[in-house]
Amino acid sequence: MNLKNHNKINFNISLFIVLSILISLILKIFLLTALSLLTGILYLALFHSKNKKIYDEREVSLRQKATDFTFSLFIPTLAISAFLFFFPSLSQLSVFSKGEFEYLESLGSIFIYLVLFLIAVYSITYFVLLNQIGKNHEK
Amino acid sequence: MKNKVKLFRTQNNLTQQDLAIKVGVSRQTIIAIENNKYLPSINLAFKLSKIFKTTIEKLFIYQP
Repeated sequence: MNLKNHNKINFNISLFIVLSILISLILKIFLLTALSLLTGILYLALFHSKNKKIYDEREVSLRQKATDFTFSLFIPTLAISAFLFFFPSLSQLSVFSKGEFEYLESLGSIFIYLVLFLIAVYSITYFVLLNQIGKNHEK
Repeated sequence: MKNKVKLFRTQNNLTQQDLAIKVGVSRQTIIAIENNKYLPSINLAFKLSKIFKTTIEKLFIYQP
């Protein structure tokens, strides 16, 4: 990844935050607006530095470590949340499986689809990289 | 892994910024290497040793 790609990713993140603020304001979801603003401030303060004009190997290493940490935190959270959203619905006892809380089951399904998608992407990426970098050929 | 980057840099009358420009990294990377906070790639290690006209073994000391 070079400086151009680095700037492109920064632009995409900034665009996503701005869009989420605008959409949440239009739909009057003020909690989402506040969270988007907070995330935007956090991103600008901690990550988006004016000094990052040189994109070198240390920057790549930092990004890889940050990505690893994010994924190792994000996927289990998503997977556990997915099953937690399903269990009340399966038991048919909880108030969460009825009426206005029925959407939780759908949310659980979406989370499971997302986790499955991420596992598939991870497996494919690993396979492609393994072929590029070199398999362990036994002779 | 220990290194003598700071020692070689001062001996060659180079600032951290000068060295960073010569090897094509940021000044923060040079600071991190000098403080043993970051282990450079083999490519960068070769570039550093070439600038200081020494060997990698003299610049970086392996400590298991």
